[in-house]
Amino acid sequence: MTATVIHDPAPAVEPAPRRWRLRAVLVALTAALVATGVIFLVRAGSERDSGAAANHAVVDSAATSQVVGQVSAALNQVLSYSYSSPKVAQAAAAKYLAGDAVGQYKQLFAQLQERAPGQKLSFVAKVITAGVTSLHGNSAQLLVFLDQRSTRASDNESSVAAAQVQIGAVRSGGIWRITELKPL
Amino acid sequence: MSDIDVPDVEHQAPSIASLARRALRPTSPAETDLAETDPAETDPAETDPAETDPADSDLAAAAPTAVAPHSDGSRLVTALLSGLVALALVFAAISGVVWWRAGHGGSSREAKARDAVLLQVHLDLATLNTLDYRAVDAGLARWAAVTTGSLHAGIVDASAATKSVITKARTVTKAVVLDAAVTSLNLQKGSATVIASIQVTKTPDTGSAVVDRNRVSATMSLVHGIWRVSDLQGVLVQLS
Repeated sequence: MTATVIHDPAPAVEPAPRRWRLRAVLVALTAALVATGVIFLVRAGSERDSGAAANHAVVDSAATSQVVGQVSAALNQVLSYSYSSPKVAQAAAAKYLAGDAVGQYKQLFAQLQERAPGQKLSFVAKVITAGVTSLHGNSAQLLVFLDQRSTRASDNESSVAAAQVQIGAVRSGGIWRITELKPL
Repeated sequence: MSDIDVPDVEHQAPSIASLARRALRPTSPAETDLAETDPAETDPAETDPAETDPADSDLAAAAPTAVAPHSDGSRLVTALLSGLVALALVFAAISGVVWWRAGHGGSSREAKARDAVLLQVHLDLATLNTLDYRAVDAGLARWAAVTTGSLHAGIVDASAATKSVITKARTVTKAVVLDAAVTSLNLQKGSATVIASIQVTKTPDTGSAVVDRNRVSATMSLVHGIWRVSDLQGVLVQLS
């Protein structure tokens, strides 16, 4: 650089142009830095909103245990039914079911009501373990293992079934409701 | 960034330097010359208002006549632009950190580990529930490859008696993991627990196939960067 300075053939000019050139460099530099920063932020945003990090299951332990706790409690109530007081399960269903699950449950409930009075059927459901497979804001997917014991009061016959269900849930007003119930 | 500014600076630096010399030589010493050309023009990326301003005002004090063509307003614009560059640099640096943390932060690492565990569980639990009585050794070798710890040791040490029981059962089992969920994850310990629903099809040598849906829980351990099954249990009925 020093060599060029020495051999610089340019005649003496007013200092104004170099000021302008300096300013152009500064403006270009600012623009380049801002553009770089914006690209970083856009990439950070897409990293957060897509792929692994967008799914908060397990990673957000508080939200994960909240959805597991509420869905488990809801299933225990909704799937426990007694022929002597059918309204308990019905009320739980009205409270904790939403979306497609409402229709699915009503169908199941209608079948039960047809059979249960004669057979005096009771069900007790207990969630054994549950895991969250996806958790995006107010919607979640779970895999739930639950046992369900059915008892026939007429002859006191009872049997226990080991069930595996996929659950879809949405949160509104701070409460997780079951929107899908799919036995595996 | 450097692609843009480096050629510019090199291109204009000679004339700036020579101009400064020509303008300053009659009235000011060489030190003043250096004070202006060095920090302000040769390296704009490092420039901030604190550096340019004193250089400019020193020059003004030392050689008022030489800088006469530059008004106070003109110098202010340059200082403001330098300030903008500094702010833009800070902005770019901060967003760079934000980007890095979004991809490498604690929760992102956990999320990626969770997905890696699930992928491995789908493969390995299918493997561990698949066995052909006609190729017991090959089947057990596949089991050994995806396990670690005492579970692995048990498979490797499978006695001839155990193998002969399998062979005599004359059954081919094939498994598919229907769904799985991570129930706990500890990256410090490199361990995770999962639950999975497995569909197992047992086809006896004679007779028709039987399909079972099994509930299992497994412990996964990170061994040299790969998740291995270290424990596998059936989730039994707990209501009586």
